[in-house]
Amino acid sequence: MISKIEITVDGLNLEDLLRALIKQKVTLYAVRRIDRFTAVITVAYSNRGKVLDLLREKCYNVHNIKFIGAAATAERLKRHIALFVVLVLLVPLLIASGTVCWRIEVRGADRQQVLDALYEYGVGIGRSLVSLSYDKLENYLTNAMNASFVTAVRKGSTLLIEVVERSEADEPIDLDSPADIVAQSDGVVSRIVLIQGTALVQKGDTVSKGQILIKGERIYNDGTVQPVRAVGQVFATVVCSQEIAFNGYLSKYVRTGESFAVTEVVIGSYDSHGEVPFETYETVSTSLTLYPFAVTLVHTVYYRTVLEVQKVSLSQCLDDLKRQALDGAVDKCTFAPYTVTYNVSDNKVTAVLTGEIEIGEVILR
Amino acid sequence: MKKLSDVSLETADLETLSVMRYKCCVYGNHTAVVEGHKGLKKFGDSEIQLRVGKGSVSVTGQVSLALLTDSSAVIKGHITGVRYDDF
Repeated sequence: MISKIEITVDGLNLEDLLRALIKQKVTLYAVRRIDRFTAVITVAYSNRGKVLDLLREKCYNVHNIKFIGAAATAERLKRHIALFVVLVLLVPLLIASGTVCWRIEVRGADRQQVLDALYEYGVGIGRSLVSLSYDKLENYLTNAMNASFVTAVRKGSTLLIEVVERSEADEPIDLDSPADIVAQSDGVVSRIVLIQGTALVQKGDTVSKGQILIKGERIYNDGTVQPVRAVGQVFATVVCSQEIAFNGYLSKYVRTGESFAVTEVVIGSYDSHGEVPFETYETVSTSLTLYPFAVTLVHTVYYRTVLEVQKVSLSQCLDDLKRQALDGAVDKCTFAPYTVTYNVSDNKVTAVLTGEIEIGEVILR
Repeated sequence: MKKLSDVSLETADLETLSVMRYKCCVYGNHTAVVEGHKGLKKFGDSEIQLRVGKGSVSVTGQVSLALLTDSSAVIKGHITGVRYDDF
């Protein structure tokens, strides 16, 4: 596409002007008459000097000049030369920054310990990752951390270090020392795995904390008793519950409709985090990492919320009450539940979590 | 095999294009091409008049100049008439 300029010109006898232009071998593209004294003429960008000189010479008023095609780009670059220079400098800078370590993520071990080991090896924030041998680094860290193995992966300008710690062998058990298996919490026995010793409880028994479950003794047919170490497992069914009272009102945070969107730029470990103008809010975030650059754009929308108290019937808020009861029960729960049941009455909802734990603990005599 | 333009020229009793002082071609009612004009005489949004030979050719309608050089012009728009005037 040929570069052109569109000139809005104002003056008397426009026909005379057009005749003069074509006489000077200027090709006119798209000539439009706006009114009696105004016309828009389009000429090649290369002829702009000749045309503008003629317009000045003939005392025509030039109202607007619009650049079309490559000329427009060139003109924008001229006008925003500072921006262009910044872009030209910034792109190689960003590419170069992608080869530098701006963030170190550590999994599976103490972060500071790993960072210290990396520092000793010569790797750290702001250091180049170009000539880094990851195999050698992994071997070094494995030895330094006394780990089972370490993986080091570069993702853009982030160094991901994952440490898998060495699994220690269990302490050898002295099977000759007499010991009992004792309940470490209350519960109802659900199953017993007996390897050595004498079981004092059976499935379905309710046991309390401190009660001997498997006694460390072997009873022979002649009635003699030999002290042994009790070996086995005793499992018990345990429950955990949370009650939520219902008084006819339900308090919940609701969105007011006000929202505040912000796009944060995370460069390396620097986060342009700003103030949130709401006291209570919900957030929805999306992020985009510009690899290989060390730049992550995080777009977050903050929705303002207010606490609202509503008069409701039990059926209307049953789901909310169940959820609150379940959340509370899960927070308190110290075992992995396998069933959840809800007890609903007129003034409360109870979530009951049921699970199984091993309650037996070896206690030496 | 003769080309269509040659047949047309023969039919019109014109041996070559060089015999023409100017040429005006109208494509449908949207484009008119005038070659060999001698200058712009009148330019408005309802009529564009060009000097040709010893007279002029006027293209009327809602028209504008798509191209204008020292010898040819392309007129576009909604053409309602083409008129030739002899001096």
